[in-house]
Order: sequence, then structure tokens, then C-alpha cells
Amino acid sequence: MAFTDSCDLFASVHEDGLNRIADHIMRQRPSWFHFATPDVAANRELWCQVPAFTSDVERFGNPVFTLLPYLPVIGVDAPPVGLGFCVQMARAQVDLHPSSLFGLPDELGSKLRDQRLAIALRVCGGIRCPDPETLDRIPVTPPRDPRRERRPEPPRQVPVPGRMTCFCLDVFAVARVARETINGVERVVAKIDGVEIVDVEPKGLEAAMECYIRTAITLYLRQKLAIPLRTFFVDFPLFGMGTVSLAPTPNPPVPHNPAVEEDQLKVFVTMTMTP
Amino acid sequence: MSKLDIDPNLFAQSGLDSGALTILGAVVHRPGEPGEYRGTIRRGKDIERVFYLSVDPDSPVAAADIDLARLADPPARGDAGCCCPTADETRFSVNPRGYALFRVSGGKGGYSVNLRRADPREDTPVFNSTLLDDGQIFSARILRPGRYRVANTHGRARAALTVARPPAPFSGYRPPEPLRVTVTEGGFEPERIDLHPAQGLIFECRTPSRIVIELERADEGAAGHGGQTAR
Amino acid sequence: MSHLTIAASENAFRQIFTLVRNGFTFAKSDSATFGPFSASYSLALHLEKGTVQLNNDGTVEIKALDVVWDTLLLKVCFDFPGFTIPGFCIIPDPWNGCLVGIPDIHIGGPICIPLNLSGLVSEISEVRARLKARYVVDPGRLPTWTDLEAEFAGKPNMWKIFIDPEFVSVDPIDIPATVGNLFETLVEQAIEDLLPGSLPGFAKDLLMALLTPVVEIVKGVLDVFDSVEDFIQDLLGDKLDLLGIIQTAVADHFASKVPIYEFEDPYPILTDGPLIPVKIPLRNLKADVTSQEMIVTGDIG
Repeated sequence: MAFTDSCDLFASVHEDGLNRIADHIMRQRPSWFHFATPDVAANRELWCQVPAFTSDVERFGNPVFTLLPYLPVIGVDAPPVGLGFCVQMARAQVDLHPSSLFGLPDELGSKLRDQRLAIALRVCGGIRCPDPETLDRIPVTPPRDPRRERRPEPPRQVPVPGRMTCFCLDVFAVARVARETINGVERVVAKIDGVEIVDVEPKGLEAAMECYIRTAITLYLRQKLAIPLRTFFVDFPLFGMGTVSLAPTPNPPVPHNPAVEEDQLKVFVTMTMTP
Repeated sequence: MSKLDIDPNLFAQSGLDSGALTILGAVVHRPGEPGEYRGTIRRGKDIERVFYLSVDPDSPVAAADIDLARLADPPARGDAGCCCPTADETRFSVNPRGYALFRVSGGKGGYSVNLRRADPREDTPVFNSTLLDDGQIFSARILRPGRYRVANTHGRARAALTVARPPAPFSGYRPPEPLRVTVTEGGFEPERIDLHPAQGLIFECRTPSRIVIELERADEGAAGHGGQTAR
Repeated sequence: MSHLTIAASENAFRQIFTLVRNGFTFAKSDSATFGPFSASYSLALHLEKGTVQLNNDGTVEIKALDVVWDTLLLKVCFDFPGFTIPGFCIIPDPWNGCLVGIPDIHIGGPICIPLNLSGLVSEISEVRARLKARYVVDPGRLPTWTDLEAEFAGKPNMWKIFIDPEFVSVDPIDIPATVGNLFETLVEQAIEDLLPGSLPGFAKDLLMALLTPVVEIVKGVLDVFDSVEDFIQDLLGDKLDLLGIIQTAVADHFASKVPIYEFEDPYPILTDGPLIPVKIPLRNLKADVTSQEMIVTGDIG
């Protein structure tokens, strides 16, 4: 059976290739996978994970961390106090149907269903934990008199130092792939069906964290990793050729486009001659 | 594309004179007596060049080809533009039973040849091309169609000559064999000569002769290229 | 299994072939001397049409590819042996020809026949080729550069896939009989033009009458045994080696000048935004065909 029995152009990426691509992306765009407050980003000893990145990242002045604001301490505003923290992606792996690289938690069905892919993430994070003496040294700001100051400036947030306490979570997600036009470009994007965090109690906390992570991954995939369809064809010369127009092959004849099967991500394109 | 470099004298000279040879005329002389001969090439009365003819029984040459134009007016040679023939070029050899052909390969011509014994005690002229006799030959080639008058100026002999027009272009025309005319005291034989263009005409002179051919009327033809009229 | 597979149907391959074919243009001028004559030419051509077939043995067969000669100016020059006013014999030699004779007068000169054959169409009957993936390092790339620096300098490494011909069969340039006739007419004209305008009419008449039919002149001078059009065909194709030149030019074009597929290595997949592009190295690129499609495979490095 030929690759192009039902189409004119066919492209597939094997899951081994996808995982290498994921590794290249993480190494060339570390700031997409490592987030920290300025104090943590600037202090290597506070990192939960040492990011691996290419020499070009620093040569061209790209950041290793995406900087985030300090984590506010609830109810504290005189002055407000923030804690340093970091969230880092330690590992990411993709397994395309059928399951072959890793197993899934029971909550996600243990094995992949047709046309599905699994994502295994190891996410590490930590918060700087100040000791009591440090907290005692933070002066309390006197209350402002609103009659004297028409628009009182809010007091500046005080970051407090402390030891970094790191933890790691193993996160699994199941997704399918779909075509979506984003900013006028037809792209292939993964759609999250479910997320499971391993060994988090109680259930409510787990559910809340899973919700947050599902939201983050969903939006992240749409914003950062929606790959243009033509990228799969690596600048194949028919793209941009005036005498032909290319469009994803419909169903029928191709039931799933893109398709996740045989450990590969496949896309099919049909060519029509432009009169 | 450049044009052909054609000697203008080839077509400009309508008449011929055995005593003033041009490009279309030649004289044949049989030396006979062995010995060293000194020749002079003249144009009118002026001597243009001297040459030597050795009539030698041991010579293998049956016909000495003596180009008067080359001797009298040789082409420029080398950077110095020297025009003079070398000593070798002015010496000819022929067997006593052979012939000397005096002809003109190019140029305006008008040459006559005088040949005498080189020995100072033997200075009697033995050959003068202005006076042919004893079977000496004048040959002519006439290119221009028309009617001509032929005369022996040493007598009263006259003959009429016509030259026909050439056939069509690219017809591969070849002139017929030359026509032979005998010149005697009684006149030309035959007296009426019909030639094709460029056909050879050979006069065998058995009486003192100087043959002169003059154009009477040119045949321009119906579709000619505008040839010149006779003068 | 390869990490990456890209396939194009035979129909899609034909479209790519059309792109490559249309990219072929060729122009050349040259001259050569062949004993009694010389020839010069100026040509410009392009390719049209052609059928493409993919085979299970990995070969690509291109047939009936038209060579359109947009410009084909041929000039044949030879020393016209000319007009000969024949000599004659005055005194025959009874034993051997002529003892004393008046020599021939020869008048000759060079003539050139310009022939405009522009618009002719000939054919490349067959090209048999295989696909070949080639890794090309830009010669201007400095050894200290990273891939990203090379890309920013406009000198990235490239993967290029070519249709690499194993042989190219070029048919002879078919010269129509009308061209032979035209050539003869031009020779006639050139001969007439050789004669100086000052020459009297009778002289022209005589000289032209002395000439054999022009076809015989041409055959004699140019050593032509068959028709003039066959001579021109042989001159162009064999003597001037235009067939070989086309063969080489077409083979070079397909094998090394215009690839059917090319892309940077590493290949940029994420290029938006202020950060450096994410580039993916591709290794072990291979290209092959079956009777149904072209298949390109490679690994992610």
C-alpha cells in the first residue's frame, strides 16, 4: 500500500522523532519550560533542575528562565510580601498510539485509545521558605491616612529570602490531534482530553491541580506548539507553487487527518490544479 | 562580407595585341638553337626587366613558363617591400626541342619580349614578340560577348570574330576546345571565327605577324547586367 | 523505522518535475573549424512537455522532452573555390596531355552563410534517472559558525534532492528540407554578393555561368554526401556537438543545478517571536521512488 493512495502528499513523524524534536525545543527554548522569580532565576543554587540548553541561547542573549512575579503571601499588605519560587519542566515524553513508551495511570485508562497520544511530564517546583527570624525583621508599615493622601501609593512588595524547597510531580496527559486555523495559518495542535497527577492527596487538591495543569497545557499547546501544516512537509516545493493548491485531505477518503496511529503522527494533503 | 578581389584588367581589356601582351594573351616560341639567351621585357620602348633563358640539350624542361607580369612587376615581398626578383627567378631553362611560353598573369600588361644570344659576338635578335613568324604562336582568350575585328598589322590580313553570350548562371559552363587559326601571307584561315566566351583562340603565324583584336560591337544581351559599350 | 517520512504521489511528482524542467535555460556561443569550412553558432533553448514515469526499480523515466531552440543562429563560412576561367592547351603533348598550355584563372574568396534556425524543436527521447539526496555545505560558511550563525549569515547547510540522470538520450536535430533549400538560396545570394558591384555585366554573366549548380558547389566544398539538410543536421549535432552539449547541460541541470526538493539543515520549525528559531537537524536523508510515489525519509538528529 502506498503512502499516497488517498492523497497527493503525505508526511509522518514517528514518536521517537517527536521526542527528539521535543528535546531540541526544550534545549533551544529553555525559557518556555523554566519559570522563576527573578531572585531564583539569578541564583543557580535555588534551581530545582539545571536546565540543559544550547550555546546559541546565551550567545544570542535568550533567557533561560521566564521571569514571574513573586508569589504573594495571602493577607499581607503592610507591606505586601512575596515569596520566590520556580516551576521547571524536567522531562517531557510523547507516546503515540499504540502505547509503547510508557504506561498510563488507571485514571487515564492505562492504555491509549485509537487516535490518541499520551504525554508524560515531570514537573519540578519549589518555594523559598523564609525562617521566622527573617519574617520578624520585616517592619510593619504604619497605616496610611486616606484624608491626607488622596491616592496613596501601594507599598512595594517585599521579597523575602529563604531556603528552596523543591518537589517533583509526574503528570500524564492524554490528547488527540486536530487541525485548527490560528492567526490565518492551518496548524496541527494537540487537544488535551485528560490529565492525571500521580500521588497527590487529597482528591480535591489533586483535582484542582489537574484542572490548573490541564488549562496550562491546553493553552500552552495552542499558543506555543501549534505547528503549521506545511512544516510537516519541510518546505516541500509544491507549497507556494502558483499552479496548484493544497488542502488537507477530507474524510472520506482519509478518516483521520491528522492521524495518530502506528506510533506516528500523519498528515495527508490533496493537490488540485489551479486553472 | 568582403567582395572578391578580382584583377580589374581581366574584364576591362576588350582588345588584344600579340605585340603588347595582356592578361588574356600569350606567345609561344620554340628556341631551337642551344645557347644562353638574354631576354628583355619591354612595355612600349622601355625595358622593364632582363631575364636569361638557357636552351640546354640536357634540360628536362619541355615548356618554360615565363610570367612577364611577375618579372616586370613582382608582388611586394617581406617587410622591406622589396620588389625585385632574385637571380634565380630571372633564370629559366628549356630543352632545345621545347617551348618558351610568355604570358601575363595579372596587371595592366602591354609587354613585349625580345630574346637574343647572350654571347656579345652573337647579338643578332632571335626572337621579338612584336613580330611573330616561323610557326610562333599567339594565343588569346576573349571574355566579352560581341563582334570583333582581327588584323595582322604586318600585312592586310583581316578576319571577323564573334563571341557568343554565356549560358545561364550555375550551368557549369565549360568553354569548348580552343580554335586554331593559321596566319599566312594570304590571310587568316579561317577568316570567320565564332567563339564561345573564354574559349581559347590560337594563331599559328607562318608569315611575319602582329595580331591585333579589337572590339567592334559588344553584345549586351537582353537581360545583361549593364555591361559597357564598345569604344 | 525512519523518524520522518514524506511522500508525493506520481501526480505531485510530475508537478515538481514541471517546476524543475521550467527552470532549465541554456545559452551558448562557439565556433569551430572543420578543414574546408568553419562554423559558428549562437543558441538559447528551453525545455517543454515530457512524460514522467516512476518505476519500482527506483528509476525515474522522462520521455519525449521537447528542446525548444529559442535562438539557433548558425553561420557556415568556407573558402569559395570559385569562379574558374578555364585554361586551354596550345601545344598538346602526344604522349602525355599538354606540353604548353594557358593555365586556369581562379577567382575565389571566403563566403559566410548565416542561417537562422530559431524556433526549431527537437527532442530528448529519454532521460533515465534516480533520485539522489545530497548534503551541501555552503563554501562560504566559516568553520567557527554555529548552525544558527550560518543561517543568519545566509549560508546554511542544505539538503538537496536531485533527479540524477544515468543517461540522457538526445535525438538528432531534425532539419526540414526547406532549410536545405534556404541554405542553397543563401549560398547563391552570397556568391552573387561576392562579385564587386563595379564588375561589368558580361563578366558577371560569364562568371556565374561557369559555376556548377549550387548544390554541387555546396556538396563539393562542405564534403556533403547526402542532402544539405542532412549536412546541417550532422554539423549541428555531431561536428559542433550540440547534442552532446545539450546532453551535458540537461544532465547537469537535473543532477546538480536545480533540485526537486531542498531545505535547510537544521530545519527551522519554530520561527515566530523574539527568540532564536528552533532548528531540527535532519540526518540520513534518502529519496527513492516506487511506481506510485516518491518517498523521502530521514531521521531527527
